[in-house]
Amino acid sequence: MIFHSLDFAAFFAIVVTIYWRLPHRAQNLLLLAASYVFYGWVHPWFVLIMLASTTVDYWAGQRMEDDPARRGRYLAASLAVNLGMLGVFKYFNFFVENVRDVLGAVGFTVAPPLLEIALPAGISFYTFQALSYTVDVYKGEMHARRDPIDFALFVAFFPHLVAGPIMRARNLLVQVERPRTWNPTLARSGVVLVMWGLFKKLVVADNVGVVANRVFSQSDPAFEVLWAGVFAFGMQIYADFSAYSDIARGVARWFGFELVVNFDHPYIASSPTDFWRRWHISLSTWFRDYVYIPLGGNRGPALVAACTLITTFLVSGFWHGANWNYVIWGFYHGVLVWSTRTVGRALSLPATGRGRSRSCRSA
Amino acid sequence: MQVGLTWTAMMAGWLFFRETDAEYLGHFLRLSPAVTMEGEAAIGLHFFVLAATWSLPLFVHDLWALARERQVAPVAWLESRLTGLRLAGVQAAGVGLLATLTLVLRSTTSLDFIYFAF
Repeated sequence: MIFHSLDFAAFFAIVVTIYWRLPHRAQNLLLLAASYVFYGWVHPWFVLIMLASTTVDYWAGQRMEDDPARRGRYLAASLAVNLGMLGVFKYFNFFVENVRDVLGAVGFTVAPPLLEIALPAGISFYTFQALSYTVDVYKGEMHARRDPIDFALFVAFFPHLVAGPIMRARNLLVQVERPRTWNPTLARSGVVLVMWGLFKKLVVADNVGVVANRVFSQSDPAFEVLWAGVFAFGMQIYADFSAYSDIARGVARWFGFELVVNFDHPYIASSPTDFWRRWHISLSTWFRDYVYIPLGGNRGPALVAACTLITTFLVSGFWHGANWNYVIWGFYHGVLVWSTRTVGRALSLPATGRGRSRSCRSA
Repeated sequence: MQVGLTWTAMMAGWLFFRETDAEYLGHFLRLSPAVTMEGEAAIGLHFFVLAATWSLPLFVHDLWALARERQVAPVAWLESRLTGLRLAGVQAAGVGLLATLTLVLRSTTSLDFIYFAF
């Protein structure tokens, strides 16, 4: 179900009308059921995939708390299931094709089977969201949850399910567990967010996208035409993605939830580092907290710190898609951030942009 | 200038994101303005102006945010005045305007949300 459809408008109107007539517990049940309907609207089997992730992570969280001596194994189980699902549905064909190509280059001709299976929508988002829960329980930063409905709703909450923002358990799960009251100011601002999001998507992104698609459908565009197309795509993806986040935040406010800001005007960034504090904030902070810092962050020798940074960006690029161009894109940004930081330090320039992290911050 | 340079670097990076075919990517990176044929530069300018025109609301929104961050006096004054009923009125007017513009200007080509592919 997509936001800018009559199906969704009717769905939303029905759910929100019933929602505010119910007590807290029933509200969560309704939202959970509605989220599964939303997610399974086109492909009902997608719900089974998400249920598998939900079940394993719920179980793993409790086991980590009940059996702390073996919590590493339960975390490993959570990682294996979530990353395994990503590996199968998103990256299997990529790996198989690359192995085939490498073998072909050295003289072995193989024709391995490829999976012909639809990528479950939002799998990259909700698996990362669920993993943040199990990792935080493992580190002792939050308690395991014992209410399956609340936990399932944390994973499946429909406004942000398909394309983020990726919410941390210490933010969204807490809101799920807390009673919510109708707030007309919040609802009004939610309408503004939804309308602004729809405008960005239907007017800006889709019209600029036509320009970008025309350029990139050409096999041999001129230099000026190509870079006009790149500019068009840069505006399209910003309008498109920030629109989704705004609509998600606006819809969530109508249920009394506050989702984090995911875009903070990234194109007015004053440095590549500042850009990544403003672009897809929920993902960049997730990679910072669960990949970059555990790998060592900026500690240690300069070369090690540089490798850590660039590796994090490589993985982040790869998260976007099973193709080498996304890895190159990640590498490009990693090198930019590292080089501008290094030059900035060498010239003793003041830190640029906003120094405060926006992890889990709500507007 | 820092904002301009960062914007240029970030924009350039989108080529790697958008073009998934390695052969085309390599070809595009080797393109040069020196071999542009007559009329092609004008086509490029046409596409750029078209994209920039549709993106105008984003530029305005970003410039407002930049002015707010740098605490430009008129912006700060205006935002301090937008409270209570006045804010509600502005929000209502804004929603009405956005809805009208969306109905009138929406693209005839409906594209999926890009991040649905991820």
